[in-house]
Amino acid sequence: MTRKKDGKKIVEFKDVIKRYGQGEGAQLANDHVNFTIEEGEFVVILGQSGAGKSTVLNMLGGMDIPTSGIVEVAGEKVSSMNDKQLSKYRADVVGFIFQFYNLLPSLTAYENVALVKNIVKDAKDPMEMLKAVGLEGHRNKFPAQMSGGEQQRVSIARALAKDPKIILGDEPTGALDSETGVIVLELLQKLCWEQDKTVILVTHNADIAKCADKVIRMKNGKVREIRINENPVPVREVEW
Amino acid sequence: MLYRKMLRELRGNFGQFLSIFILSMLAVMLFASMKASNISAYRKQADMYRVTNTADGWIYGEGFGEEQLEKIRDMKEVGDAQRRMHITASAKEHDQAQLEVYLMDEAIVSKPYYVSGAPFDPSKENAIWLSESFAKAWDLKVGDEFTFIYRGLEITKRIAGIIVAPEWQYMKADKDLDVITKNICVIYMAYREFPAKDYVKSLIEKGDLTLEDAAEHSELVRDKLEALEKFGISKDDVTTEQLLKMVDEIDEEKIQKMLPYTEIAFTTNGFDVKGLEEKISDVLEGDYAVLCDRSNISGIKVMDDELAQHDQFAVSFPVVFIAIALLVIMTSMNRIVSQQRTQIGTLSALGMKRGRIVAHYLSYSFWVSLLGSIAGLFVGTYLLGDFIARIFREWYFIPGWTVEMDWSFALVVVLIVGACTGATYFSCHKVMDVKPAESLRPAAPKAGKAIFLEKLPIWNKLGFDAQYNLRDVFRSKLRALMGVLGTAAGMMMMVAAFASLTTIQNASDWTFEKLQNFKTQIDLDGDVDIEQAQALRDLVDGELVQTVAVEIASQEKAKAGERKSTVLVVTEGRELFRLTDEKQKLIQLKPGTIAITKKLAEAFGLKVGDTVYWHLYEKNEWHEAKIGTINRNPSLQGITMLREDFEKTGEKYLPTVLYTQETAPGENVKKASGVLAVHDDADLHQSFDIMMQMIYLVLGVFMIFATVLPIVVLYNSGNLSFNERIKEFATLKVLGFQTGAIRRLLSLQNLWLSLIGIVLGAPLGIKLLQYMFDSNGDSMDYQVAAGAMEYAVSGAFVLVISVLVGFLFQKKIRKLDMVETLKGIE
Repeated sequence: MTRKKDGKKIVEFKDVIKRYGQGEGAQLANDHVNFTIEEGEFVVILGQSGAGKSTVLNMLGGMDIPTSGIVEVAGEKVSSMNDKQLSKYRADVVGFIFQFYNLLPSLTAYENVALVKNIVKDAKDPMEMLKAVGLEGHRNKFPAQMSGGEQQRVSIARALAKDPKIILGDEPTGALDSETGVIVLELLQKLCWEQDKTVILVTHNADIAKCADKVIRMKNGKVREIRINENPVPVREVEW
Repeated sequence: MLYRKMLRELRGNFGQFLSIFILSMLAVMLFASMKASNISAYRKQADMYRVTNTADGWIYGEGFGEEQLEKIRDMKEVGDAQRRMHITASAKEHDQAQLEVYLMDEAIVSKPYYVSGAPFDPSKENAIWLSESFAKAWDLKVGDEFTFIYRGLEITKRIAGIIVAPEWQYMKADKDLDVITKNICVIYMAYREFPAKDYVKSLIEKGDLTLEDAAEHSELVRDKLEALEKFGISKDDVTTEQLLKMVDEIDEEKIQKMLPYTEIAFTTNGFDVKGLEEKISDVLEGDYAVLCDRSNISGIKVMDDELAQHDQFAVSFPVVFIAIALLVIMTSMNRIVSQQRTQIGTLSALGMKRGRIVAHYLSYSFWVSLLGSIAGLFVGTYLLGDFIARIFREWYFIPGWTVEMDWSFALVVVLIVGACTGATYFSCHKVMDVKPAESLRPAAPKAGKAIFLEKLPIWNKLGFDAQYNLRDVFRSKLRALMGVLGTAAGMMMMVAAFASLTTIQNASDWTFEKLQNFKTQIDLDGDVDIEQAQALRDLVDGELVQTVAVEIASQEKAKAGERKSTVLVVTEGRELFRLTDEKQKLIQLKPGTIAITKKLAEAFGLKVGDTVYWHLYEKNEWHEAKIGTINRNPSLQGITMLREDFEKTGEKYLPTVLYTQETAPGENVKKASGVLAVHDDADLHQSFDIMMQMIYLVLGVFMIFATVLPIVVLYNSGNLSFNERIKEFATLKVLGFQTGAIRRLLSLQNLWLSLIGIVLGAPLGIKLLQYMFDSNGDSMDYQVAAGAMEYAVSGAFVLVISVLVGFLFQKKIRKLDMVETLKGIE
């Protein structure tokens, strides 16, 4: 299947260096990283453990800032934001999906999604979001009462409720069995294809790359390859 | 290795362990401060009793002869005994200070405790020994001359020694409400040194001493009378002039022998004084008024009550701190151990014995509480305890009173460290009991569940902050309990401190605006001529009042244990000395009845209409009186009756004070015969002012504790809450919550806990204050009062602390590393 995009740039990494620590013990997590992502793209950042892919995602998510270089998202320079601006950025621009869901255990599925109302003014209806991920029947369940896949779908519903410009996922299927993982990935792909959301996933699972519009392969903190997938495969069609 | 692990983890959890350290330190500190000064007081008191051979019992009567003394001495239960005479005089050049003068020619029982100069020696001529506190207040030195006035007689002697009177460890002038050392002094003097002839002549002139009285007490007079009778002259034929002449002819030494001894002080060979009453009564053939033991001597009783109060405080206050410390320990250790679940599993899997692992975790709180306790022991004893002893030395006089420790200190440390370590075991053993294979896997996070409040319609109206925090409170009940108890204790102390100001102010208003309808108090000589006193009264349009020591009972022929020593106030009903009821409403005494103070009535179970039996302390005859009303007075407990009723009993009315609304009586009043001292309004207020200063001090100390407690507890609760929810907060941060919003979320819970603590602590503060005032002994009856303002200020104070503690987390939340926190397995 061929996807057509308008080519409007939403993310740009310009010569980004991220160094942890100082002196001899310093670790270079990102080494002159450059790439761009266009609006509505389904992007997979691929690499082994320690490749620097999570560092990229953290900077994209406004949870970390580069040592040098520029990170620009939706026309805003994330790399030079202060604490307060970063909070606002996280609230308005990105929706984050974690490997371990990170739902608040003392809130129900519905409340975990509704939580977003406390952050953004025009949050989407939590019930609608739960419906979108197929969990309308689980609204009153606490995280401990749901399966991993269900929890991850709540987490996606929570991310969607903010109506973010980009959705970031850090190994969102890493803790799930393959069956459940497919459901979650399908959901994300659907968001991208049907609702034109920009979805950026970090993973070490090369199979997922088959479904992406763009694959950024990283190794030792450097971008090794940026590959445009002219014919991304629907999630269901991939052999897992 | 485990030792190093412990040290590093102590550092890593510094806040919590500091809380445990502070709380165990505070608990031991409070105990030690009260106890250390008490132990020293008891020991020094015992030393003083031993050195001075302080009496165990006192027999008061109208006069004791040598024969009676010998009979008492011969009792096998009695150790030593001696007679003495006690008079109350006033200082001539020292603000007419009240002087309690002991005239004694032996130094066997209840000798003064010698501080400087020469020890008491009744054979020394022209000498007196006086109180150290008074000497200090007036800068009197050994060798100085000192003049005092007794019944118009001026007596000047040289100060031979500075002493402490074992029976006057507490002493305050009758006019004062509190101890003012420059107004009261105890003096010891040889009876021989008393100008007996002048004194006897003044008694005869006033008609207070008749030939008959003299004959009763003196063999010499009896011999003279017998001689006169041979000439056909009976005692009735002798005129006052002849009697005076007769006295003139008798030499001083012989007159000395005629002087009455109104007291026998004795020690027992370990027998209970009150148990000896029947025997003493037999031996003296009933010819005495009152038998007292140490608990009847106010100078000893007030001191002993104070020490007993400190003993109570030494236990009750630390208990509060320990209870909170235990909660802090249980919650903190529980968190630490739960966090280390996988480490425990690893150690276990490596083959370390369970006992060793348990001991390792117990060692955290063991060392911290031990160090805290030891710090508290020294700070409490040598700083706070010393401070307390220093303050109380202004009120009580026990030579050498400082601070000392005893075995109970070690016991308290063992108990506190034991309790802290035990609490750790209690909170950790569940984790320790998990099988290694299981504990190598992380524990499931605490599951959220619906709480009962969710069934209420209001639940859905609550915002996210409220719902989230409510569920969290129910997830961590122990932590919430700790927060509530900590703030409740803080609030309790704040309310008690502020309310004590109001209470004293209330007592002051009660006294000066209701009870005392006068501006000036004129102290009268104990045997002022009644005509003179009345003339004086008419001159200043005042009211004469007699205050006298009595013993009362609720039934006839009550035994010693069923009687109480108290005060009888005889008024003329002119409403300058007034009475109020329980609600501080003015009441009037009905003729033919007496008023009894509430506390006393309650002690006897008496009510209006009941009969009270009473007798003057120095007289043997009992009278009865009907209770007409129950009154309440903050600082004077006893019975009150009208002069006409008092005189009907046959007792002689001897007014001791004259009250007037005149603010500045003229010199003619001040210099009038029979006037001992004139106290103006400022003078009367002095005691309250001093009491207020004391209260400010208490307020300060309480405020320190009231500040430290909520800070420690709320910080700790916040810290635990923060650490327990750190992942959740990191998630919220990633979702875009601002630092301030997360801090508010965290603070909100503390705010609730504080509010509950405030509501619970407020009434406890009043209870605490009432307990503190009640433990002040029988003579006080303060109405503990607190207005809305005190509650509001105290509550606001605790709330402000709660809010400020929240800001301590601002930085922590800002610095919260989302990436690091959310990394890793769950």
